[in-house]
Amino acid sequence: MTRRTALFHSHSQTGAQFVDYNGWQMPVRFTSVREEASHVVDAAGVADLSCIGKFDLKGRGVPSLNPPAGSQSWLLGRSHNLLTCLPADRERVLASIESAPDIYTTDVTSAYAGFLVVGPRSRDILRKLTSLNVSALSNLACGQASLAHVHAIVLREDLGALPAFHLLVSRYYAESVWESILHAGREFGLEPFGLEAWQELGGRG
Amino acid sequence: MGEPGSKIEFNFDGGAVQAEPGDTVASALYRAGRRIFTRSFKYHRPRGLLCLSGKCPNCLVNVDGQPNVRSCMTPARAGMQVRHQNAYPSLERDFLSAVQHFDWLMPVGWYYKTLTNPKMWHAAEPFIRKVAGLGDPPPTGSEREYEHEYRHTDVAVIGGGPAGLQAALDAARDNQQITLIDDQPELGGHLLYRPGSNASVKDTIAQLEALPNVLILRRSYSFGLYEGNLLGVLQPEPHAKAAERLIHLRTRRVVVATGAYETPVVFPNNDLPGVMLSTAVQRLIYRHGIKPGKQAVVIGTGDRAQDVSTDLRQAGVEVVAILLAESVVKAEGAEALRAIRTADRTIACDLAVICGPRVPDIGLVGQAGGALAWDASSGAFLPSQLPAHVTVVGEAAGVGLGPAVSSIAAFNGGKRSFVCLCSDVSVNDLAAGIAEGFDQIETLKRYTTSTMGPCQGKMCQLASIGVCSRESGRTFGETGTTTARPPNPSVTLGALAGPRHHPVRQTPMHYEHEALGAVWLDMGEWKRPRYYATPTCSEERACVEQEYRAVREAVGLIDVSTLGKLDVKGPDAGKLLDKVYTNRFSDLKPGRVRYSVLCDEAGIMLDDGTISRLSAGQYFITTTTGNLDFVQQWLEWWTVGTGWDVHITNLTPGLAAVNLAGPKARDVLQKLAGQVDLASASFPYMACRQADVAGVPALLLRIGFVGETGWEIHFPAEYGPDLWNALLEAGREFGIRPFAVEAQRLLRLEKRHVIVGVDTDALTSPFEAGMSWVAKLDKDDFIGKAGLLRTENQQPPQKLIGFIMNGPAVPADGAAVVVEGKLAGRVTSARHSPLNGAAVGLAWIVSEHAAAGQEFEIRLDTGSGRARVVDEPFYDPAGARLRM
Repeated sequence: MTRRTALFHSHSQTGAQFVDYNGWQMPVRFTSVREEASHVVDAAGVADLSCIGKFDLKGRGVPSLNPPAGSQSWLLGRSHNLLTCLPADRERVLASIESAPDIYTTDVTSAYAGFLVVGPRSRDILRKLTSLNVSALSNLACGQASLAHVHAIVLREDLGALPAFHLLVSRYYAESVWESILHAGREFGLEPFGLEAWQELGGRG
Repeated sequence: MGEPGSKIEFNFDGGAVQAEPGDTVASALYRAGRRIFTRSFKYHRPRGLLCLSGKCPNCLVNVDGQPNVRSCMTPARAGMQVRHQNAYPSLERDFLSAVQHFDWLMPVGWYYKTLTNPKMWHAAEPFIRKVAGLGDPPPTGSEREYEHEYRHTDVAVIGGGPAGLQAALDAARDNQQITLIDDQPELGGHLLYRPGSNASVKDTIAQLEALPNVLILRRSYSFGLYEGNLLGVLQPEPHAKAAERLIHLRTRRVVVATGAYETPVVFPNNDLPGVMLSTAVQRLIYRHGIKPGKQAVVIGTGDRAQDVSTDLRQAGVEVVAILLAESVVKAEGAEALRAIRTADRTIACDLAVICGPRVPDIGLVGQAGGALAWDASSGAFLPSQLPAHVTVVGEAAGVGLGPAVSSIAAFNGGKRSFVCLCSDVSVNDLAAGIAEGFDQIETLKRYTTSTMGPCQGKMCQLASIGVCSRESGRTFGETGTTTARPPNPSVTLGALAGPRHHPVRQTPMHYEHEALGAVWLDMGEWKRPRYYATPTCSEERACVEQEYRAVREAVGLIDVSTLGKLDVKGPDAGKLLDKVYTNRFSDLKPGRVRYSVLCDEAGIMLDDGTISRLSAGQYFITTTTGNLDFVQQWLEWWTVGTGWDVHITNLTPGLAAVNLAGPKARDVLQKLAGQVDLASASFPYMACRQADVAGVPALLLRIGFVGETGWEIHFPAEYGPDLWNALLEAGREFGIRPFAVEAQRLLRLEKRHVIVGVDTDALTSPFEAGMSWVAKLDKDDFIGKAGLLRTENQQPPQKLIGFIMNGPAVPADGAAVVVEGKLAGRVTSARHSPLNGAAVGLAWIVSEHAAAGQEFEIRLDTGSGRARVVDEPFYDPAGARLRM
């Protein structure tokens, strides 16, 4: 059985090539790595990274948790964190937090579609989609807001020197939000990019 | 003016119009000789350019299908299609201008006075609807794109005149983030149309443009200041692909530097084309290089009258007289100004230049909660109290407004001395309103509609206050102003609505359904298959019946991913569920499932669902599709303050869910879940297990909404397409069919299963719905217990009953139930049941007729039909098939 992101159909329609990535069918490229990467560097790009591991952590033990190696911790509320990690590290990270006291962990990898909007124009695009002040969001900071009329968690996770925003929305809205992002980005030259360009630009994986 | 560029051409009412670089639509039309720009709202009087600054209603046109566009604020663009509005057949010959001869029929407040009789209203309505309103709505299906943008700043400076530029520069030096907003394509404010050097301003603009912490928004209208320092800013044509952009600007401070604008003076026929404000004349001369007329009478005193006279002479206009407003008796002319008459002479002219009162443009101050006070020396209402985050600078604050000028000339009687140009309200109309008792400015406004038109009081507020204070014997200060409200200037509904993002929710198997021929049903934001149109069935009922038979006779598969799914963890999870749901859950054994409803404090059913206990400290809740958010919030709400260790996580988007049901369901599932014994002895009805299905980790719930042996299978959404197809493949040898919402509704109706929110309403208790077993009244306190105890032993006034039709007809959902000729209830759901060969359904009926076997009448689309109350489920009343 293969794992498919909510955009599998949409990516196939646009002629993406797929690759197996930790059991996920992920778009590896849409046009060519060079073209996609240069779009990101010059203007902006968006990638479907729904395969990223995500854990919802609640409970008294959350504030004192040291995130396991290879994971990134995001503060969502009082005693409420989100942990992200690469798909390959998912099980190791889960095992490591499950042993921590007073933490209730729920695997929400499947619950959120994740889109990475990267590039010098990324803030201009997000400005059209959300009232969150993305300019005030420093690297590794996060916020929650309405984005394209649905609830979103916005994680700022720069790719090298390029500003990058990881947008998490409920999986069932994936296609709707993806289309809104592409529409908002049209005037800035936004194009989708695949796993290969992501890695070339410094995406861990 | 005078920028390099070449002439362009656009279209007005079918003819070509040449425009110079820097021209607006209005200036190009004026240059081409047009003097009548619009016809007035009520009397269809000719109107020409008056303010040339986007403040008055006189130049509204239709541009490319968009009505009420201010032509003086719209740069001319090659190929644009401009049309006049509110005149037929043309601006020059407007049949409805005859209306002004019947003005005696339409006194102020004439709707209320004349159309008092319903018959008269019905007779007049079609005509009024045809002529009322201003402009035609844009065509439906218009391709115009509207954008929204969200920005944040430290200081928003509104107005790019000298005061605003200086304020922006001062604030920028403090290293703050500045947003400077101006309504013109070019910064500079009134200096743009004043002759002479403005080198220092050019320098300030250059400095601001070079600063990285300054954002300049040109041709942008600040139309409203809302709660939380949210400023609404509208940008027409922000880029080639968008018609309008609405900017939500959050700011820490607001600097109002909007300046002052000139307003008219009231005298008879003061609305004739050719009567123009002095600042408009200066804009024509200095912004557009247009000679505004041949012979001008200047009406005003002092420096302003002298200055504009000099400007006119330099532009080649003969200034035939400079008059005090007090000496003007009337303007003469029919379709255009011909002369100005004083007490002793008539002065021929084609232009009357009014040096009118100057009004600070401070609507935003009022919106922000600031107070205004009358300042007699400048003849204006000025900001007197400001909220902490608002500053007003420059002419908007009254600096350099100059001496007071009266809005009302000495001769101002008669019915053609217009105060409100938008709605044709004259001095006489206002005086009549005051005489009738509407002598407060706010009630006078509502009664006469003065200040309520497209200009939103900009041109008429001061004169209205003037007439009101004179007629009621109060001072200006005592009379006060009307309330400033956004939006001002007006904003299109499209801009407020924004881009066409309609969030849609798709289940993980969306495209599998599409490939199977799904006919879609919109359920809130969700897309769900209503039924599958396959080659073997021709219309809905046949398709639904095939799906139905597959479930009853073999096996069916339905996508139920839309169900709400909540994970509840923690040692106190059982306590919370006992408190919130009516059923008992703390004693539920791990591996078991229980059904329950959820009630409000009064015992009204709010939702239902199954709750499975996965382990000692973990439960899995399903909710109805539409109530997920509510149930989650409700659970969280009742946790607050308890100190209980319980945590709720929404799993809905992350889990795909299907229901595999039918006599062959076990055979299909066993093929894919070999390691689990699915036999009833080890996996009974209302049990749950976590197990792999085709290698996918899944939660299996043995429950049966449709009344057959079946499993609800929840599994990670990313496996949706593959597992769905694997189940269909495994079921092929058993005759599996996908089934959808319609077949499910029919199947559950035969089982008499209620859908909360469809068969129940906002007043339904479990007792009325025949579900008293679900309320455990012997439990400790729970939400709704008190309400349920109160009604426990009462006969409910009405009951939800099952019924079967005596004939072949299928009543519509909502059809009326009639007993002895009287309305006695309504049908909530009914479908044709292949099992019974007749329609079965659920209905509300008054309790005395709710006994099993009683007959009643149901109103049908044509005629009526007989039905009979049935107590038990129509299908498998003992539930044996569920347990097989």
